[in-house]
Amino acid sequence: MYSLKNNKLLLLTLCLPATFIVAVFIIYPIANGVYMSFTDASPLRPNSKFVGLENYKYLFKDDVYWQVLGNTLFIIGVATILAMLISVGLALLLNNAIRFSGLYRSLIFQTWVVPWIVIAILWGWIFNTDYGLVNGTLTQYGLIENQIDWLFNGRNAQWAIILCFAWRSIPFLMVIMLAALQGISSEVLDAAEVDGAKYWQKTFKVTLPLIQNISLAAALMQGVRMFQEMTLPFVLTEGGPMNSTMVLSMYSYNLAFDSWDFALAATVGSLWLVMLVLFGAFYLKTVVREM
Amino acid sequence: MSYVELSNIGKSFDRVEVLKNINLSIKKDEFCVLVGPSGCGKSTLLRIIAGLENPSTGTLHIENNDVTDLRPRDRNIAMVFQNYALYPHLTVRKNMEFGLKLDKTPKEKINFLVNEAAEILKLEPYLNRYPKQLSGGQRQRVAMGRAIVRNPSLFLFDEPLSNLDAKLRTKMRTEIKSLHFRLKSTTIYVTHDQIEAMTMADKIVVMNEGEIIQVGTPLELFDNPKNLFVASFLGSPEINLFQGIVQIEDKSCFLKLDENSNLKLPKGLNLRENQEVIIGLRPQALKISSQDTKLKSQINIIENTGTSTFVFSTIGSTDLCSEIDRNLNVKVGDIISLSAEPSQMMVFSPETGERLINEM
Repeated sequence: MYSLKNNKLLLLTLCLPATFIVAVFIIYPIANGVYMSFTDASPLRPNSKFVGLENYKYLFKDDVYWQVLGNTLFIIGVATILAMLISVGLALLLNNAIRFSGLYRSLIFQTWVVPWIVIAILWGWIFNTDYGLVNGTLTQYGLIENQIDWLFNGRNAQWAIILCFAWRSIPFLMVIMLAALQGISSEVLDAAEVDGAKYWQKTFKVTLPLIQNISLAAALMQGVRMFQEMTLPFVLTEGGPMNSTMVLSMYSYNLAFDSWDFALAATVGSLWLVMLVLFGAFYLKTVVREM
Repeated sequence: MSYVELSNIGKSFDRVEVLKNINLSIKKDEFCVLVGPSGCGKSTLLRIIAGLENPSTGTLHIENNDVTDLRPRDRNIAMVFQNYALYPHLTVRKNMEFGLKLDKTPKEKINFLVNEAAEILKLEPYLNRYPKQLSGGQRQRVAMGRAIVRNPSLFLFDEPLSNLDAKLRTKMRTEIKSLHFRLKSTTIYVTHDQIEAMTMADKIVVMNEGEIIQVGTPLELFDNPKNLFVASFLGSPEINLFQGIVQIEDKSCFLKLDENSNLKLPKGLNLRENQEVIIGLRPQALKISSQDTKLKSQINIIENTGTSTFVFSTIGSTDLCSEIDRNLNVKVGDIISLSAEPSQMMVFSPETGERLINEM
């Protein structure tokens, strides 16, 4: 019988276009970035030279790098967890046949199609010290006397960024989790009810474990997506005050296009790549369960 | 009062009435099978008994308690579903423990009950496996185990064997029946498979279009169906139906099928001349005759199942099936003379489909 496996040449030819695209657009940039991290590449220098681990040594000794790494993990970690909790709650609500659930679903999903830059400007106004919705509302209900500088105080600014990140992530996570919820066999839920489970027992012992894998994978995807995103801190706080909202993506951008230190920016990127790959592998290995 | 009592149960989804005025009594320890074609409302009725659906009208009593408005967990029932409905993230043991843990049963008792059920169902080697690591039959046994451990007052089965292959289905049928015999549990079992109904039931409830058509033991329904629907639904191959006009000549009574064919009817049927009727005859009651009769047909197919041999033939537009002696020397294309066993003839009205004479 004819099998494609026997025709090695044809097989290779068929794989060529995909291999070419992956090589040019993924493998080469990554390899080039990693290589660059071992050089002193900069547009201000006509020629770059190999410097070994110098960039890494420099970064590990740099307090700002560790602060930025801490900020990134804190902001993205908390934003992902927050977005997950709210999305699960919304998905559970919308999965019950409540009135107008289709309308709510589309309204919530609208957030997903709004560009990051618009969100940054929108939340910039919401957190505006003098005219913002947050201060306005808090003052109106007498909860605060003096206006709060949301974006000009380190901790507050971090929480403002966290809220924006979470808000933007909710529609994606909610849609994924709603799809996962709708994929659960109604018989299994009926069985739990016959077995005597109350609503919350059914939710925590059956529903959530059954969507666990999908929601954790979605959270991982969304977390990685947020790692790459710099529009929010860039527009809202410019990484300040005192670098408190500086995240890795913006930090490497600044190194590359503010300080013109391509090599150091590439080092940040390479470390970030290794960190995410290791984290992703560990996460999928330990958190995703056998079913 | 009976063990399970359904009174005037009705159910509508929006404007569609899926159950109409259902009244049914089930005795303690009885194995009651609800049977009917797809969409007849049997599964909805079972879900109402389980508490997974609320009836639009009527009441439901289990052990003399009105449970109509109680939630499933307060009814002390257990249910086995068509697709097993096992919790995929839990092992077999944990699946079986699930309900007991929710009831806050002591750990030692849970272990005892689960081990006992596993022994009965031969599930001991699989207790630490996940459902996906089991075969269809094993999964269905786990589902039964999950039901047994709770020692419910009522077992509900919703087409539990329909996902299994034919051989396994026969095996599981016997297992469920022997389990019922061993546990002496009141059981309501839903199926669309009339063979399952006939072989397992103490009492069969035949349903169609949201109504109970007839209730009785398997043989009662087989021998004395109330109407054409029950007669056709039960029995495989299906009952033969002859539609024709009654003719009386020289005190002999015939059913005229067409110009050349007629079926001799026994005396005492009280039929009028020219009355249009349908005569039902099970394949076992329609025999090949060695004498020349006015009921001749050509053999289309001969089906030999090993235990029985069926001959399929046609008269006009009527398809016939008769069970014959396997040693009889006939072949496809042969013209055969058929004769009917008079005592097994059933007379139905063509207009209403109802049985005209109940007992021969």
